[in-house]
Amino acid sequence: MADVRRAEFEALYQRHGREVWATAYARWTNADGALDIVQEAFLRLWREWEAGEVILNPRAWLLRVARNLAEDYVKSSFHRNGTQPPPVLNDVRSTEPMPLETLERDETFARLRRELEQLSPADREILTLRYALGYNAAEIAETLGIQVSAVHMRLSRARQRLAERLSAQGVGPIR
Amino acid sequence: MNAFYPPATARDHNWSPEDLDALLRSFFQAEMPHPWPPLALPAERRQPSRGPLVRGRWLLAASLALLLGGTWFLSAKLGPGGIKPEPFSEHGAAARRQPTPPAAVRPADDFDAAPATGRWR
Repeated sequence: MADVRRAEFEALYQRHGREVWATAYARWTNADGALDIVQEAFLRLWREWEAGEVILNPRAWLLRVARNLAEDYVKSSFHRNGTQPPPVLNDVRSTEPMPLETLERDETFARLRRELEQLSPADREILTLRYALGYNAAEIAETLGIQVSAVHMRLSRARQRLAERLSAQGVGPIR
Repeated sequence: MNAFYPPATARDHNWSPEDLDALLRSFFQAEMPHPWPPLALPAERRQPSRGPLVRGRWLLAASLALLLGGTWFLSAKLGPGGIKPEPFSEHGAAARRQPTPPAAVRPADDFDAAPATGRWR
């Protein structure tokens, strides 16, 4: 019986884990931190299951917990790091020498991350759902609880704002 | 799909929709953990066997039932309206409490042999 429950829970994790990660990432722009939030959110759900709580919509429950946890992490990371969130402090991830293309790409990614952090959480969320999870407009609309037409509009504006910010910072496409 | 692409503006002229698409896709794919890590659930807690607990409860219930039943039985027997003492009559306990009468009269040969003290009169 316990094995069946674990298998069910593993399936739930495989089904919704990336979505929970994307939700946390959109709030915090920290891949490792988002992964910690995924683990924490699923661990909390598991405890609820163990306690016999009935959660009718685990996906909605997980996304809500992930959002709350991410908000808490953002606040606590601000206290730890002052005005600089962790990704800015940890741009350089390795001291190993890297090929020029990799360096250029990583530099572009670091600047993109900085610009993403300047966008609103709503813009980051819709971009994350589109590009991290590969969701189409209908899936994004279902996740965010909005109309498909609103998804097109929001996504278009988010992309435009990001492109403007990148151009203003002198960040060009990777060639 | 084209609905995702914003109209070109003066400030983002160097970012074509395809370039921005490619950058965002590669960026988010690099950010997403690969491979997707397994879930670390806490080790399963072994539930203690419930046998001794159930047995203990049954034992407690039986003891309580015995105690209550015994109390009820004794109160029914000894309390008001219960067992009454036997009436005082010559057939009752008072009669039985009378001293044992002297032994039966001895045979005549014993009488003759006894001293004349008047004891056997």
